[in-house]
Amino acid sequence: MNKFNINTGKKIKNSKKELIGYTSSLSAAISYGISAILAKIIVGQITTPLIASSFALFFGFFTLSIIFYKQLMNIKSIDKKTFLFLFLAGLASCIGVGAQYYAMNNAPVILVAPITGANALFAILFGSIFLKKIEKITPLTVIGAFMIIIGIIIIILSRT
Amino acid sequence: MGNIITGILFAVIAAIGWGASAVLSRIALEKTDPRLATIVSLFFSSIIMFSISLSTQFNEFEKLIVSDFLWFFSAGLTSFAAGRLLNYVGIKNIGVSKASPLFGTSPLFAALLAIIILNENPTIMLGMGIVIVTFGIILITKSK
Repeated sequence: MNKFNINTGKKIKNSKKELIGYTSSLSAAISYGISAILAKIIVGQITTPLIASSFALFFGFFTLSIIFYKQLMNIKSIDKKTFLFLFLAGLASCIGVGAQYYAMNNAPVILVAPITGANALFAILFGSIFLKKIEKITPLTVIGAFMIIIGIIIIILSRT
Repeated sequence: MGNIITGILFAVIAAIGWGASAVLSRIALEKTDPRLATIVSLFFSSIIMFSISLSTQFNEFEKLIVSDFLWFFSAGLTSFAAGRLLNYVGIKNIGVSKASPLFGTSPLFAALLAIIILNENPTIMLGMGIVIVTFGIILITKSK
């Protein structure tokens, strides 16, 4: 009886965790969708994507530092290795933004968008290589990712 | 032709960069709170981005006026404060293989918002794309 209760408890905990994860990821996509509209206005009328990204990143950092100042007090709890991974994650995303900017300057959107849109496949590929111990990648996830990427490519191309 | 190949190469680098960023943050999130991780990664990202833009487009900074910063603030709030934080919460809870494709659906929402806000015309191709993306999302949420 106890075992059943423990398992049920674990299942409820896992499904709650999954719900938070799915909701957060889709909310992040909506948030980025809104920012893409803002970016279209900013890049069209105000300044270049690199300068806009620099200030947007700073304001994002500044806002979160104020909202979560209590968590920021625990910064010493982060070990050096985690700091390094966060630095590399930030560096890799900057390379992504910068490279996309130069790609758009050199090739038409019809070629660039499908390639950059496939970044989730690289995440899955790298995940299957480097995250073997902490992540299980199922065939259904890969098929779902492919469908999303194909759908997104169609959406992007329909707007160009 | 040379320009196009350069463009394609940079597009591949961009896709690899974002894919790598998701995996690196997943490793970091094993031991950190997503809120703290987002703040630290945004700190590093803004330093790197300012260094690149100051060294390559210094003259463009002089053209900025005070009201422009309201736009940058709005973009920072939606894109990085909310967007990256929620993305990290997603990665921590469901893993990078599920969170990354879901996060990649942002152009779908951008297209829907463009129809509502910018009065862009919906097309059959857009509808097709939405249906395929929705099926993809369902498959990912069903995978155990």
